[in-house]
Amino acid sequence: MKFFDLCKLSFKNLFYNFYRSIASIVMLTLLSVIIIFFGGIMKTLNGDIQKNLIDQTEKYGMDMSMIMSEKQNTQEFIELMDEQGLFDTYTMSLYMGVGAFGNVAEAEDETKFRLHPMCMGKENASYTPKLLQGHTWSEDCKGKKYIWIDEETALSTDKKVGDILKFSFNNQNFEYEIRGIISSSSCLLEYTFFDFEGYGVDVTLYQKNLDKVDMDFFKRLEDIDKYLISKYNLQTNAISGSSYNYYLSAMTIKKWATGIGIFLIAVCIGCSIGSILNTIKINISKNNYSLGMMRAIGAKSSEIYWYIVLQWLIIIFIATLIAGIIVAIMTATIMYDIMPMMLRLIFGDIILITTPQISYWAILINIFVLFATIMLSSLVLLRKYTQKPVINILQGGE
Amino acid sequence: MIQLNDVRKIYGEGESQVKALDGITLQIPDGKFISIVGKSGSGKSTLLNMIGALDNVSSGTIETDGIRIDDLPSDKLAEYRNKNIGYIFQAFYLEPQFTVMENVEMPLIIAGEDKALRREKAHKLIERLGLLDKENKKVNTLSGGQKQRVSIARALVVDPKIILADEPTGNLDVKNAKEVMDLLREIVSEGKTVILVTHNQDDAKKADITIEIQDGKIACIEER
Repeated sequence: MKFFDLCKLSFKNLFYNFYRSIASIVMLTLLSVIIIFFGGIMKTLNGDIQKNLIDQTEKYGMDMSMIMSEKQNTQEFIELMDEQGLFDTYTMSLYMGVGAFGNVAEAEDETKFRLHPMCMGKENASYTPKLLQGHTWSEDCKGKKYIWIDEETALSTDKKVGDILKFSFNNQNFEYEIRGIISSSSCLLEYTFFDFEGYGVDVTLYQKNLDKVDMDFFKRLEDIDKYLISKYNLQTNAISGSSYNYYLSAMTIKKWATGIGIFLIAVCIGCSIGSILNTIKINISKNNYSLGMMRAIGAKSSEIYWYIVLQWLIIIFIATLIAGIIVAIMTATIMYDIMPMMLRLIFGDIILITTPQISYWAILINIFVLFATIMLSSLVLLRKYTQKPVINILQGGE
Repeated sequence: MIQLNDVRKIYGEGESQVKALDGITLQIPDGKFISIVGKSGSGKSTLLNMIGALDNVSSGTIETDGIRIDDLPSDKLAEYRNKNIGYIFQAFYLEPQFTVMENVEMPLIIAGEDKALRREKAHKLIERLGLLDKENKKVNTLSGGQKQRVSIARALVVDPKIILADEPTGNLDVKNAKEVMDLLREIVSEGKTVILVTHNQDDAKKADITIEIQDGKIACIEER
């Protein structure tokens, strides 16, 4: 039989058995809509998380902070990240005695001042505050009761190098000798006090190169952090920073959405396979004399196989096409409102700007799975069937 | 020439075993009208199915023009059926949703014939069988007699050497039954072999040779 004639014959049979074909198309369309729809959601989240990250980086710059304890090897951390090109600039802040970010409301003799230890910048001199008076920070300062303040603070409080700065925090009194005064114009960080005895380093990384901003960036950063923690056996401080926090929440959404999506897609694929198998079985048994007659007048087993398969291929093509159109319409209309609503409902208040998309991969996977199911199930069902004596097929007997 | 040698067909196993054909040895000459008669369950339809390669033999051989059809592989057998045999059944076995033309040309589609040629052949037969006005009508709109004529046209369209007819008049009224029998006689006159299975003694007597089957064995062969 010519292949073109076989196609025509299949199509005719499909058309003549109109209601049965429509029922199969409706069934597969519904299942395909779910598969393509959730494929689209996964693609949207994946793409938008990445896009939002880049938008955020363009707007605020990529920043991550790691507060390290005295025992940790800061230099090694910097080198490891430098090797992997994880940043293009960084600032490193040294904590001495007590000290941290923000404004100092509790200071005894000062209401507001800036505590500014040395800031070192790689390839970015502006991050290094200019020293106006006193001594530069050096390794010798570690653990000593020295403090650097900015010019503005010095002028407003009438403090100079060598004076003692007294303050209390958490019911403790502290005294520091002012070791140097730095330019206010290059002071980038504000500090507040926190209860931290000893000495630590805060490294803030900046990555402005958008090509390098991706999920892998954070993954590598986490790996370095884990490496350092395990190497020095420390309960150290986690990575923080606005970009990193965004990454964490985005990853949570992605994991949940992917999990739910894959589950639903798997259920739908299972249902599709089950329905196809069942329908093919029914079709074959209901078409006993039709297939038997074809065999009797000379159709080969392979021709019967393709006669059945081609009908299903047409059904799948139509079902996927309709499903694609339905999902495209949904994506272009209601999904813009539904998706943020769904995200808020599941994850609470979260910043994720979404632009719903269609996943072409989901369409292809849908077609592939359905095609494979039909090819295989027809092969298994028809193999046994077409090997029976023709008269048994014709009369529907065993 | 169709040659059957000690053909046996056994259904079931053990105690539930049924011998449908029990050692049939038979020669059917070309261009003759053969009728096979016998009671229900005697094995006459089974014999026809064996000759038409629609069923497998349990033992024995069947040869047509020197070719053993009982051990041909499935696809070769399909090709053999397509080119050499035309079937006419009591239940017609037509595609109800297809038109008369589509049903008649089906064996030619399977044979890979070009559209124009197969349409021409099918059209001629449809005209010959008086169904020209029904050519593009769906088969399920036809009467029993018309359906059987479509079935005969489909059997003849590939110009086979052998026509097998299993109770072709069983579902027809007297007038239509007579028309079908006349058609079969006409086919024989064109040099084809027609093998008819029937309950009807009058129909059987119209054949050149009548074979009576009893309990899977040939009871008698009557030549006219």
